[in-house]
Amino acid sequence: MHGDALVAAIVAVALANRLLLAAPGTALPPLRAIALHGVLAALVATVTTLATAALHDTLAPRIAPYPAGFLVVPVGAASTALAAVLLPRWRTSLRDTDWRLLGADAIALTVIAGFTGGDTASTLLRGFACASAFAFALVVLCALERRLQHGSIPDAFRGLPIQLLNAGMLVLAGSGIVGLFGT
Amino acid sequence: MTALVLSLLAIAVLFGIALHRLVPAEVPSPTPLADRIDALLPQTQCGQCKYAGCRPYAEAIATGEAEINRCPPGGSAGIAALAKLLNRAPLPLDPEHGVETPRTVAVIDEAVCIGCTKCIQVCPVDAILGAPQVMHSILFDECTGCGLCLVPCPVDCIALVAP
Repeated sequence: MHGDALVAAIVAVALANRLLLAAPGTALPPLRAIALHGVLAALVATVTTLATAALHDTLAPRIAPYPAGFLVVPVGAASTALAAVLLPRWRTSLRDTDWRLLGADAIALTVIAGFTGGDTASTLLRGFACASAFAFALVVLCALERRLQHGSIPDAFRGLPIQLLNAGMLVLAGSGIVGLFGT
Repeated sequence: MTALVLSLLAIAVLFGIALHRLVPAEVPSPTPLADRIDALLPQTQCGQCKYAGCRPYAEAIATGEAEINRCPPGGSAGIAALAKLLNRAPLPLDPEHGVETPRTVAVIDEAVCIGCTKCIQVCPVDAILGAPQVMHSILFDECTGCGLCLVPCPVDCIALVAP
């Protein structure tokens, strides 16, 4: 996935996370909690991308006839489980994290980033870039919504419609930035 | 390979910084005052302070209901420790609650004991072993020398001695 499609896919995952973290119309979690969710998702997604790429390269001769995508699900689940066990030992408050959503994010972001082709370092950087972009998009979406909360939004646009508009603007902005680099 | 290792290190550092800033460190909750007072009491559970045990007395001190000079087993050293903890002036031991004596343990005269179990029932720390019509014995490591077993003994077979 490249260019505009990549941006749109990342923003779509961020929007889905926004909708799952708090239903439209209900109170938004603090921005710090949203940023933490984004960073955790980015961490798990980066690990998943790297591990999937490594596993794919190892198994490449055996699984060549099959689509490589099926590797992502078990690796994503394993990475999430590892994070869910290790991170709460560092800070017990992380026990309350929605690890299932983070696992789904990791799988989606790994598929979006892609893990085949190229050397391991470039795969890692690509995975990290996509995961970071996701965290950034999630925080921007929520910050925009928070700013608009007290604005004079027409009733017809309150809730989901304004979030879709925000996401659309974010995709346009991202596509513009990608266009600057010509990919 | 070098590029991979450097990338991994850089990414790990970035995630480490981000998580360190976003997840607040857990500050251990301060120990309640009653717990800290209880830790300074001798745990004899003797009841000379007119409370059911050391813990209720500690709670009474913490709430300001009782003074710090009601514990004869703790003695002047215990009062000084409590005064330091509570940032108060030490008080002399209140004679109404007893006098400071050296630490003792109970001893049962086995030839006289009739196995009535009355001492077992009043021992606050379960330091007496025995059964009805069977000779009783003291667990010296557990006995706090509170003397509560002396009063109910019908044959006066218990004495307090130096450990």
